[in-house]
Amino acid sequence: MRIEVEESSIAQFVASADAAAHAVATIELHAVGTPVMLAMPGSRTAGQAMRAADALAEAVRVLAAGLAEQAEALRTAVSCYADTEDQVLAQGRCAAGAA
Amino acid sequence: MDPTTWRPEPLLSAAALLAAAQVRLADASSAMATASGPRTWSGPAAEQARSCSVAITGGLDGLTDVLHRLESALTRGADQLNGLTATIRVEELALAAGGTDVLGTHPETAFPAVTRLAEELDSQLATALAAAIMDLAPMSRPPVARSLFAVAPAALPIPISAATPAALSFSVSPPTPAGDPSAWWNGLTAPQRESAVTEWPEIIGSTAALPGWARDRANRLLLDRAESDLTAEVVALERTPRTWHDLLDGPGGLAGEVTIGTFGGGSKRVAYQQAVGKLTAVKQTRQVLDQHDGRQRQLLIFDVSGRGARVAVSVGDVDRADHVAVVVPGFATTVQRDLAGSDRLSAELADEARDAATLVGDRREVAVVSWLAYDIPQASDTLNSGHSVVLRQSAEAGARSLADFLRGVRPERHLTLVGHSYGSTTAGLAAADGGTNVDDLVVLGSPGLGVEQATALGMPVKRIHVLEADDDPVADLGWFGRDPSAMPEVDRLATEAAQLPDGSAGSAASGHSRYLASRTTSQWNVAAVVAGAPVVRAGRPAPSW
Repeated sequence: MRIEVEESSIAQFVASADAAAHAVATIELHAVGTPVMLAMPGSRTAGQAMRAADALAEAVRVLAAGLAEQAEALRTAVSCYADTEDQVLAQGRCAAGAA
Repeated sequence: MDPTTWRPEPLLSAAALLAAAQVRLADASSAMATASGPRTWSGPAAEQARSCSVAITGGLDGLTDVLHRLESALTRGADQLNGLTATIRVEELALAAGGTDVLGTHPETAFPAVTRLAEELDSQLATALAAAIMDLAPMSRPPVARSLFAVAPAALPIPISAATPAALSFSVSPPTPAGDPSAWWNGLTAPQRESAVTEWPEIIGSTAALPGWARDRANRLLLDRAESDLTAEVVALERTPRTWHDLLDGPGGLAGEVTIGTFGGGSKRVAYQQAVGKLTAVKQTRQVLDQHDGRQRQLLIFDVSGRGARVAVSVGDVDRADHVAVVVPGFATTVQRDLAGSDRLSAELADEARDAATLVGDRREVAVVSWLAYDIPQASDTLNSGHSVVLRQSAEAGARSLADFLRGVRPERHLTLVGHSYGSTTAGLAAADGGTNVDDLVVLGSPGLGVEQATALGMPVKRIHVLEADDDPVADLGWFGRDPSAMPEVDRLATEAAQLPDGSAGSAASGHSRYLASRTTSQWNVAAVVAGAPVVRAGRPAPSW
């Protein structure tokens, strides 16, 4: 059995996803509502801005979580492929020894 | 809404935050675009990993697009607000030069044109923000990567199930302003109606033509939001300039503006006082709704977008009630101070109306609405031409809102409109508006109905019931049209001590503010009109001052 995967290449994929996750996780949009509220106190805009800020922060959180999850899943894949290759090699050695 | 307290600079601060976020999103998107995975990796797992990456990149680009549109809207808004602020300053100077006390004049009165422009700007920005919230809704579902690779090594290549990000869509569209809300509502399924309440509470809660239960649920959602928003607003306005400075954008930011604005600290103080007042009103409304007295209550109007709170709460279910009364209070009433008292009087009136109805064998449902949903003149407004108790502007504006509300009550119900003091002027003008389906109008201590002749109200004159206590000076003012008690055709009801039709003794109502007090002849009379039961008519000529 031969698995045509370079774990190190997938690892680069992981690094990109990690970098993207980090970039997104540092975005702070919760604070966007406050200046709008202070700019136009008592307006409909002020209320909507607070809700929009919540929605923006949630969208950022979801994207950051998605990216982190993607990176983690890729890390797991790297590990799975490595384990499988080891297992296949070990099985091959056993088979050779038995022979 | 007071545009003199508005400042453009914080809008630019918010736009700058959005711009900075876009840069980071672009970095993330470009990192993901280059990470398409090694060429040597193929099979279902590789496909799924790439699919997730594409979905996430799509999410990043979508969010960037939303942020860009919001940034543009806020930047444009800041430009417009800049012009608005400059205009206000010029007008202030002109007013001050003319000897007008600018601080003592309400902005809507001092700068009517500016107020109109401010409302347009507010509408534009609120719409842009609402659109952003809608655009963001599908993004609350993440691309699915979880567990796709968590399989035993021996199972490779990994079996992948289809997993793509689910784009949510709104299940219903809101009614259009030009459309018929009832027809729109009737065309919805039960789940769609539930969905509409949660997705469009601003629209559902303020549309009088829709059922009371839906408006109640929508307005309770708005009540929750308002409590959160106003709490944040009060906290923000309480902060010292240095804290704001730190919070926002450093030197040259909001800090200088809030203390050196058009009115110096004055406009900040007004904004703070209004926010505190509205927050208190929100808490008062919640207390009234949360009473455990066995009575059902519905929040039929809830609006804190103006300078004060506007609220209507029913005791009883307006959808099921056969007798519906709407009580409009007068001068100096506020939600924060008086809603609980109004609600108590409405509850007692509903009880009394039920008792009165049983006298004629009528056991149908009664609902009484405390309607504190107009800009009620306050003592501090007396010299303010837009809201003064001695002028009819507030009553006219309130009457338009009241007429809309009344048109939402189904015509087959027996509808009684009760107005006290300045509220009777508002009620009279609303009745005169036409098409309100009011069956009976009851006025208590009225300074005038806004008309000279009872016939101008467009309803049978005998169904206009006038109550005037002996020692109520307001009731004889005739300030807003002819004194109603002097209109010969109307039905004048007793306020003095008398034996009531149920055999009990009714006490006299005294002064201007006790017409609905417990066990008074006047309370019975109002309740009897609401229930279509026997009344006690006034037996002697109205006192004259």
